[in-house]
Amino acid sequence: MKKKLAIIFFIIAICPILLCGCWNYSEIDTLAIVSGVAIDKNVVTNKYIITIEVVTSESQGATSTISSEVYSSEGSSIFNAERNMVSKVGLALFWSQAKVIIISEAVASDGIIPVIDWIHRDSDLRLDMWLLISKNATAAEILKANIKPNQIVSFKLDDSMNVQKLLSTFPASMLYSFINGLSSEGKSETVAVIRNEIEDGVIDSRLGGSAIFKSDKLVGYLDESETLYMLMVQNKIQEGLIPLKNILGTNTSITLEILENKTKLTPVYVDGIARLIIDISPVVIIAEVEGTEDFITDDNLKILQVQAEERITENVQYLINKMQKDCYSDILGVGTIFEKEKPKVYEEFKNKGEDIFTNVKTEVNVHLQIKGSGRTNSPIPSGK
Amino acid sequence: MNTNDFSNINLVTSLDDNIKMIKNIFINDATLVYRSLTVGKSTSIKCMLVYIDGMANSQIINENIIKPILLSNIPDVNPENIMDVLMINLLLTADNKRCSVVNDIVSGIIYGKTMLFIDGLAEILSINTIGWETRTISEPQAETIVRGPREGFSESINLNLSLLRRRLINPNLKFEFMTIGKQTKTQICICYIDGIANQPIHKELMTRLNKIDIDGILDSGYIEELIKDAPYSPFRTIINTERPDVVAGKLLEGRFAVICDGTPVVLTLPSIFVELFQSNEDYYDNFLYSSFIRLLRWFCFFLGTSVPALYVALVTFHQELIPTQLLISIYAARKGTPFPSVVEVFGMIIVFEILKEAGLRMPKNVGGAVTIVGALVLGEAAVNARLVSAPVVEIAALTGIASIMLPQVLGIIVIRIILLFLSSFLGLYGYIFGVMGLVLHMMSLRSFGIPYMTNIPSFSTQDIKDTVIRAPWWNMKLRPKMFTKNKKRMKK
Repeated sequence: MKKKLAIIFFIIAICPILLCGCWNYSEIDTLAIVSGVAIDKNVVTNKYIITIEVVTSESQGATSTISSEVYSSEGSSIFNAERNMVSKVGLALFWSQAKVIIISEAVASDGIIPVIDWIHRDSDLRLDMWLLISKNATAAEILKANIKPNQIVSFKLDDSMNVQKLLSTFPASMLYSFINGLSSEGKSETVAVIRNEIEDGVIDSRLGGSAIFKSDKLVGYLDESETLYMLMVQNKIQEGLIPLKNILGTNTSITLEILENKTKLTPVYVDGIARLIIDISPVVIIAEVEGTEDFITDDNLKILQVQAEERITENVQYLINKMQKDCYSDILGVGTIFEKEKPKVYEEFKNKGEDIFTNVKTEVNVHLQIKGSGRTNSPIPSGK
Repeated sequence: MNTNDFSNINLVTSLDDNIKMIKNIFINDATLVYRSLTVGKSTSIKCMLVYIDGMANSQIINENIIKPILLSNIPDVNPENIMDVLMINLLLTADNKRCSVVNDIVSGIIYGKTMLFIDGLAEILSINTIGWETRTISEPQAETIVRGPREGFSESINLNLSLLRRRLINPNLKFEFMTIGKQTKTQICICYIDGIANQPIHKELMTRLNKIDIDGILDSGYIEELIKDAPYSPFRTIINTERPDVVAGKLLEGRFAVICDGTPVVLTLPSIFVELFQSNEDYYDNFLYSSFIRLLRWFCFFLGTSVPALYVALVTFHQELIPTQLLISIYAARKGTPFPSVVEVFGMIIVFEILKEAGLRMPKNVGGAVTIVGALVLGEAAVNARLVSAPVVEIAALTGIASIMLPQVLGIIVIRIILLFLSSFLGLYGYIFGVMGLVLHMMSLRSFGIPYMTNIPSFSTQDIKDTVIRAPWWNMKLRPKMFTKNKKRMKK
């Protein structure tokens, strides 16, 4: 019995080694950890240029410093280019920790699906990478703009995208939500925009604004404040600011900070006219008062509220007009709403071959609530 | 003679023949003392006192045996009544017994008793004059606690029994003696509280003890290995302790204790997995703090077995599971080190065990040097020389410290190494297979008929009151149900 047990034990111990032999075994230092990837197109050869940022480290004794290196390669397709890269780097690329993918606007204008199909299909890459469009530079320049030693650009971008909810000046565009959105008919996607700026001779990258897509092609841009209102209508704002300059002609400018926001979109169809009622209910506090006029007294608060509501309504209406006239892109999801709540109307419009979004009349109602004014309830007195 | 078994020799009535027989058994033994006496002024019956110098207390012999025999007026005695006269009227010693079995006589002489041989009788008088040196009661070094009694068992079985009796003033506390070991004839004692302890377990225990066939028992560890349920398992099914309060507590729950002469370590059985995480201090301290410490011990069991295996599995097979920042740190630390991760981790674990063992055995003067070497070897120099990476040193130290927290689970190092190798073959798969095998093994263990993992898989409040947490004393009304039928601990 004991001999039998010993034999069984040895079979169990040897089998894994002989049959599959540590099939996935790879030491960490044989991997090139990719932290971010940028995709451009070479207009001359019509090939894709991939730039990756790889994490490296140098060690002196017991301490070691982390930095990154940037490699580029070309290929007729994305996967091709990636395999060509391996010969440059010398190690197998490890994609599971990549955080950002930056696509240049030239590639995006031609259609983004050929670019992201490999990323969507390959099991090594994670779909929760941030998707960014680079505006005034090639995507590779964003990754190469690394002046500080020991800093990894992609991780810094990852951190910036993570604080998006504080700023609300660009959408938090993840790859998987973009791909999911592509497949739905009634909504177009928006993607955060990144650009290089020069400050004191130092090139630094900055996030701000959004890029508008129609199906998978880039059609236009929104700047930062327009993006704020777009996020407001889409009910995706968590925190943000609304500046009101020179209220009613006084010398006072107040900045309101949005604490929370709820937007409700109600579709209405009456007499052949499709209408959309947008109810926005932000809760704000007075974050900053510049000037001497005290708007925090009871009566003045009402004035302030009306002013803020008017400002928001104005901006939202302007945004919708711009979308309807200039870009023909349904970024607010009007089509999806009609499809869900008024499917017959949606069918009708589709059969007629008309886009609901360009023909819908919108009505914006803002119900602003000023919750507080921070620690003090009056501006800092002056005039001595 | 070269045997320790004298069951085929009998006493005769002639004193000279008996003494010749004793001298024959104890050939060349210069420590044996033979003192001849005569009893009775008129009858002058010849007697001989035999004892071993150093084992028997000579003062008792002089004052209480020889003095009354020689100095007092003994009426006429004859071989029929001399025994009674001596035992009841004459000798001043407290414990006198008649004896005629040569085995007992020989063991008695060696143990320190004095034998009085009487001419004309095939029976002798065995007088208890044990007086050898024994260690004073001191706190056991391996089981120190902050709060609680500081007495520990010593090597003399009588002293140990007295320590136990003081704590359990109960006539139902039974002691059963046995002798085991052909050459050593070591005395062992089985203790239990009649009425609380379980009879079937008692029967099983006696059967196993009677089956032991070994030449010498030097420590209770021998007995433990010979009677335990699963000799090949890394887990203990019989627990040992050096503290009388621990033994008393376990007896109160219905367990059995085996005390072995010559060692302060007492065995308690049957024991279950939960006991490895219990310490007597848990019951004396605040129950909230004790519950926290118990949870910490359970966590340390996981740390002590699994951390090296998980580290190797994650770092060599599943790098995508590690958070990015941690991965970068490990990557930076590992760059440039020559060995594969498994070799590093295994090497560090072995070095830690070497240090631990060396620390146990070294004399105090060498202590300082070993500490420095340990700190250097494991710490700075190894990392600076780029032989091992710093995270591996951390892992080895953490897992080593965690296993020190559980002194009763000595098999943890075996589990650790097996899981480490399994996870180096197959990553997390290997680790999970190893854990499955371990759990299967633990679930199938039994300790004297009681399942080893009692109370762990259960969710009923009564069962878990003393496992992961320690419920306050007013809440623990019943004894553990597997051990005893007498369940009520307190009156409502």
